[in-house]
Amino acid sequence: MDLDRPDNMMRLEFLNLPANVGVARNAVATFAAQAEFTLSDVEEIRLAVSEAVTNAVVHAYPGRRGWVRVNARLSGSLLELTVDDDGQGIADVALARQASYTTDPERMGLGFSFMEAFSDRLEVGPGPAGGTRVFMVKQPAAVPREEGSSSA
Amino acid sequence: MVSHEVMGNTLLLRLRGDLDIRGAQELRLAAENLLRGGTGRSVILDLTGVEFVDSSGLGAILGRYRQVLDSAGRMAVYGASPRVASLLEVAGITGIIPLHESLDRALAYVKER
Ligand SMILES: Nc1ncnc2c1ncn2[C@@H]1O[C@H](COP(=O)(O)OP(=O)(O)OP(=O)(O)O)[C@@H](O)[C@H]1O
Ligand SMILES: [Mg+2]
Repeated sequence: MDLDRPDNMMRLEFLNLPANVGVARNAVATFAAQAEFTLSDVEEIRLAVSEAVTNAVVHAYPGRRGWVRVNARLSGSLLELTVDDDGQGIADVALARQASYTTDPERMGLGFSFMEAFSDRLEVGPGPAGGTRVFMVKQPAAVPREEGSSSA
Repeated sequence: MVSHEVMGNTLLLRLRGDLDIRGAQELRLAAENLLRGGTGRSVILDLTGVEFVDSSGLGAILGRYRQVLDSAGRMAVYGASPRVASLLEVAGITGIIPLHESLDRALAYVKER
C-alpha cells in the first residue's frame, strides 16, 4: 500500500434521527482528512454529506423510523461516497434535482444543487434494494504551485 | 444553540454551533415562542458563533424572515464567516436579508423604518 495515497473504507449505519446528520457529516469529514484534501475541500464534503443524509432523514421515511447507511471509500486521493436509505424513493429524479424543487414548503429545494456544486460527480437513483441511493465523488482541488519555488 | 436578548422592539437571536437540521429546529422553535409572546417585531440573527450552515439552516433563516414580514418587522443578519456568507449569497438570501458587519449596523438597519 502506498502510504501517500491511502486506500481506506468506512461504513456507517444509523437511524433517521436529526442528531445523526452531524455525526455522519463529521465522521466523513474526519475520514476524508486522511487524503490530500484542502480545508475548503473538507468543508465542501461536510456540506454534501449533510445534504444527502438530511434528505434520507427528512424525506425517505415519512412518519416512521428507518436506517440510513453511509459508505465512504478513499482510493488514491479520490473520495467516493454512497448514502443509502430503504425509504419511499424518488418518483422523478430529474425533477427532484432541479434547483428550488422541493416537496416540503418549509424547505428551499437546495440540497441536490449543493451536492452537485460541491462534489465532482453526483448520481441519484434507486438503490439495489429500492429506496434512494446518492453517489458522490470528490477529488482534491488542484494545489496551486508556489511562485518561484523552483529557483533557476 | 440559541440564546436571545430583547432590545426594545427587536429580538436578537444569538446562534452557536452548526445550523443544520437540528439547529434549524431550535431556531424555529425559539423564534416562534419568543415572537408569539410579543417579544419584539424585528429580528436580528447573530451568526458569529456559527461554524456550519446547510440547506436546512438556510431554510430556517428564510422562515424567520417570513415570520418577521407577517408582523411588519425587519430582519438583519450579522457576524457571518466568509464561508457562511458565501452560502447565504449563493442561496439568494443576501438579496432579501442584508448581511451586516456588526450588531450596531444591524440595529441601525432594522430601526430605519
Ligand atoms: N432520500 C430521499 N427519499 C425520498 N425523497 C427524496 C430523498 N432525497 C430527496 N428527495 C426528494 O427530492 C426533493 C429535492 O431534494 P433537495 O434536497 O434538493 O431539496 P429539499 O430537501 O426539499 O430542500 P432542502 O435540501 O433545501 O432543505 C425533496 O423535496 C424530496 O421530495
Ligand atoms: Mg434536502
